[in-house]
Amino acid sequence: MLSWWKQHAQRAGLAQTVVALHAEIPPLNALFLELGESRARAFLQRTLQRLGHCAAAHHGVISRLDTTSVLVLFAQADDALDAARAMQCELRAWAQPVADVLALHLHIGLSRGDVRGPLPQCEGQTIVRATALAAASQPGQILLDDAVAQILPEAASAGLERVLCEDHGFGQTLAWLCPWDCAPTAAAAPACWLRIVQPASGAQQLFTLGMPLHIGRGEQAQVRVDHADVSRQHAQIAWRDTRCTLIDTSRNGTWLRCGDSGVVLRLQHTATALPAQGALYLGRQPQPQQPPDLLFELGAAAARHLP
Amino acid sequence: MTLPDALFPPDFAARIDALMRDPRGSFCPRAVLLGEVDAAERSVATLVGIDPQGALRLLSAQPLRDGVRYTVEAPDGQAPLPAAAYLLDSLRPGSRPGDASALWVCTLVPAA
Repeated sequence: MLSWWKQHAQRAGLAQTVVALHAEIPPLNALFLELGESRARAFLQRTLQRLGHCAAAHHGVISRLDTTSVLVLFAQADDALDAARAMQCELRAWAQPVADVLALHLHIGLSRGDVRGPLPQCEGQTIVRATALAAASQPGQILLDDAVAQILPEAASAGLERVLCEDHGFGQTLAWLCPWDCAPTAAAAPACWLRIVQPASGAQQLFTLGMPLHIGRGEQAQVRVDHADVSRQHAQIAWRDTRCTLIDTSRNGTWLRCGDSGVVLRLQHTATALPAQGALYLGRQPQPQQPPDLLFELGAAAARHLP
Repeated sequence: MTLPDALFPPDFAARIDALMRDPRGSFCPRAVLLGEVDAAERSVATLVGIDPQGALRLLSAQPLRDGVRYTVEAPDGQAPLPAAAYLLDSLRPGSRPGDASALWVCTLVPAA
């Protein structure tokens, strides 16, 4: 967060020093032809918004976001670099289900210097420079200018490589190429299953990888829980790669108690990855002595027994 | 004469639709100005969600304080937020693998 970005400075028109990150996905004409304009735009918008959340989780402040690019401002250079790497990994993970036919690449440029004006309309050569570096980068590259590279902590600057790149409009320019790699994803589980128990009735259900699983009060739900706080379509469990994602679609929310840690998360029209085991409270907050609506266990190995 | 092979497989649109069912990223994150109601100073935070009841989910570098009335203002040119004052409802440190250290996820509810 830019806690130092004070309103009085904006009003006075004072310049403030930031690291600007410009990330861009080049136009994909084939995607528009295949999906039609509105669906293609919606998909790209969602993609950029996911990247925006990723940057925000690294202390970035979103200055501008559209269907092809996002501009984010940071107080610290190492936060900006961490965000750039995380955004590349986020895009790779998000686009993995269509990666065999759709090459989505992110071009990222980072520049440090002054910007002026109130958010989100701030402007200045720093932003122009970050945009130019993104345009000069090859697909999937992260390019930094000298001002960013110079203030990075030693650990963060390890592996930076000096490169000569084509800066459209300015000829050739020197920049720093930042390496990045994502943590290897888990190997696909040979047989993933989800077991759900309703403590109130003792009913058990076993599901295997497949279509999204619906939980709710409605008759269409594969897991029916019938009390007044539960919505007809309360939540969904979707399979993605080898992970299960719990998606709340309810009016009153869902509480997820993670099995081993005991941490309780509240979901309200949001989603989270399911841990290996835990409990769900549908539409009502967990209370002492109140059993959960559902217990679940997820795995690919030998079954364990639920309490 | 034969037509060229299709660029995308027949199930491509269905795969895109399956991706879009994941709601993360359905809200467009944006900068807001955050401050205490009775103070003139504002700082920038990031709004990452608004729930149907009007509660705001903000990311901040410092934890917000319980019982303090906060004002959350949209920057010039953006749609205003629904309430004039907000109270902290819940607070937790960022816990996703991609979250930076010292990141707080704050839920603010409209003050009565």
